[in-house]
Amino acid sequence: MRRGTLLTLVFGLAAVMCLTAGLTYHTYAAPQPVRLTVATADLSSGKAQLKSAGPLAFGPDGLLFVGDSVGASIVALDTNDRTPGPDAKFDIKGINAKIASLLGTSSDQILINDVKVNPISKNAYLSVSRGRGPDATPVIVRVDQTGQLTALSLDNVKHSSISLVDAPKNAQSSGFGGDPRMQTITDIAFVNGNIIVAGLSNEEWSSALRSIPFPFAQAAKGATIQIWHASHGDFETEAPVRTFVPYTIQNQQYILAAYTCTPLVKIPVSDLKPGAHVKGTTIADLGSGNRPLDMVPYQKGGHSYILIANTSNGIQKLQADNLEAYKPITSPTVMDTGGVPFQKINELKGVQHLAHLDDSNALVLMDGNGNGSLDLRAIALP
Amino acid sequence: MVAITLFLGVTATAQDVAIQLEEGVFKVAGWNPGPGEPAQGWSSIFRIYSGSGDVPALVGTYAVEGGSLVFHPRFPLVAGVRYRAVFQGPQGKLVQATFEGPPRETISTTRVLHVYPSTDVLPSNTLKLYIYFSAPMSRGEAWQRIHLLDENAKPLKFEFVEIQQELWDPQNTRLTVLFDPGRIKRGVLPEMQLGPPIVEGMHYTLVIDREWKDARGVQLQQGFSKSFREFRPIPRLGA
Repeated sequence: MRRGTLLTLVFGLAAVMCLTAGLTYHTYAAPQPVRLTVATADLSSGKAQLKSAGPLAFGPDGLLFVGDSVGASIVALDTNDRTPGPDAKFDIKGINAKIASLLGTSSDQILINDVKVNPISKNAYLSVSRGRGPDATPVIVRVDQTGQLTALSLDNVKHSSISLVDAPKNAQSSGFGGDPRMQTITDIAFVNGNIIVAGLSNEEWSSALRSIPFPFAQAAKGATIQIWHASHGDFETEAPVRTFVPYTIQNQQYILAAYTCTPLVKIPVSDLKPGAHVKGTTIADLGSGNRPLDMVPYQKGGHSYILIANTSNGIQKLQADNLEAYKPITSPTVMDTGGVPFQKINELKGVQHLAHLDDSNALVLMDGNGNGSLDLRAIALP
Repeated sequence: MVAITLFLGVTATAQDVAIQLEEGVFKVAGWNPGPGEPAQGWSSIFRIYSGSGDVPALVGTYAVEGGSLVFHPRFPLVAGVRYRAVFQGPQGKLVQATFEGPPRETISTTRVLHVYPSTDVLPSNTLKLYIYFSAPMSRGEAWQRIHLLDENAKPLKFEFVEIQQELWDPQNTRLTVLFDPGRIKRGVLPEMQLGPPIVEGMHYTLVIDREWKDARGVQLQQGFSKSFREFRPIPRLGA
């Protein structure tokens, strides 16, 4: 080959490579949907039987778990929402009026029961009651960042469900052992392949924290776990858990549970075995008047925090570095909010729901003006 | 001449088109849907709203039935709600119509039947109350409608476990109200800060607001109050 031709060829190839590299650099690679890894056999297609839509939790691959207190069950829905989305910038005013219009009713006739974000797509999901009477219709509403609302159809959806009703011979166990319609689910979370369910009875003074393996197996409904947490030098059982969140401390999986009597308790997930009497550790007492709604753990500036939304005390930010180092509260002489240090965030008022959005933001549903108009907003984690 | 004929034709078509509501189904009468759905879908030309301002249209399904375009809302129409239907066919004039949902009930008939425990004497570690209603109630406002007043008629705070979901029976005729266990249990921070929710020897009044709406959206026939006159000391819980 002649030198000139060779040079031309080399330069030509180089040019093609640069051009190709340039094209690659400037070509937008659309995000690819995540594949559903849950076996198809574990999900049925058809109408999902949902009698009420309460607490929500996301599992893997866009699977949405719904706590159904009226139906006494947990329902897993395939949202088919698996395309990765960018960090979200929600700022939707009057979301309740918008949902009401979508559902053909008025704002005073809907209740928004929970808000969660699909970690893959960053779309928000709201569990809604259409109507406020005993015949209210459960609806799951998806909200994307453009503000588009979609009422999920439950008529032809891949789903799975598990009843929370114990067999009659097990009716003596506390918590979900009684009349199944008398139980109220207060929170659920997907942890290490299990759905953990917190609930309380309105028939008897009892509550339960229950761990159910997923995929659901009808024969293995999970079992009730009695939670003991230290208070005033003694152990307390049966107090209702308002809300809880999975949390990792030194590579060990825990759940942090906020109780109605206000202690914040850490419970090792590895101890949540059927029939177990698990000893939790009280690491903070949030004080009277605090009614925790939701908790969002996060990292910022190299430190760990937990953001807690309360009905009456706004938002609290707990310093969560070295949670394992805090001395368990067992003494009644602690007169102030003890254990984990925290600070109040006064700027956010009227928060009804708080959910993890991404590494830097949380999603709040709030009645900021106190006039009943609810806004769905992303807030920077403080 | 042709242009005038066309203009008159369009005007006549707009005058014949009307939106009707029959048995919960919205119909565009007097308009031929033609060979098929527009590229942007039927919702691009025919929508129903139940709110005003920047709100989405009703969710539902479209069909051509009996030669007319119809819209079946996914959910039944609601009493007391006004629905606004908007149609604009291709090259057609905007046609709007409003419809009222079923008539709203306004007569108060629901009342509190009784509160359990019905005794006037309550132990200071009472864990719960049941409130019974004569008909199904609405969920979502219980904690604004129940009050506990001290003997000076001053409202007390943080007495109850205010669960957002509320603890109703399946018919929404019985509400379970839990006293805050953090204030009943001795040595727990809320009890140390505020004391127990009810104290031996003091008098209280449980008040239920008349404004509490039943499942039909109508307030109670009347309010309700129950006085607790005395207490008996009992062994402390958790001691």
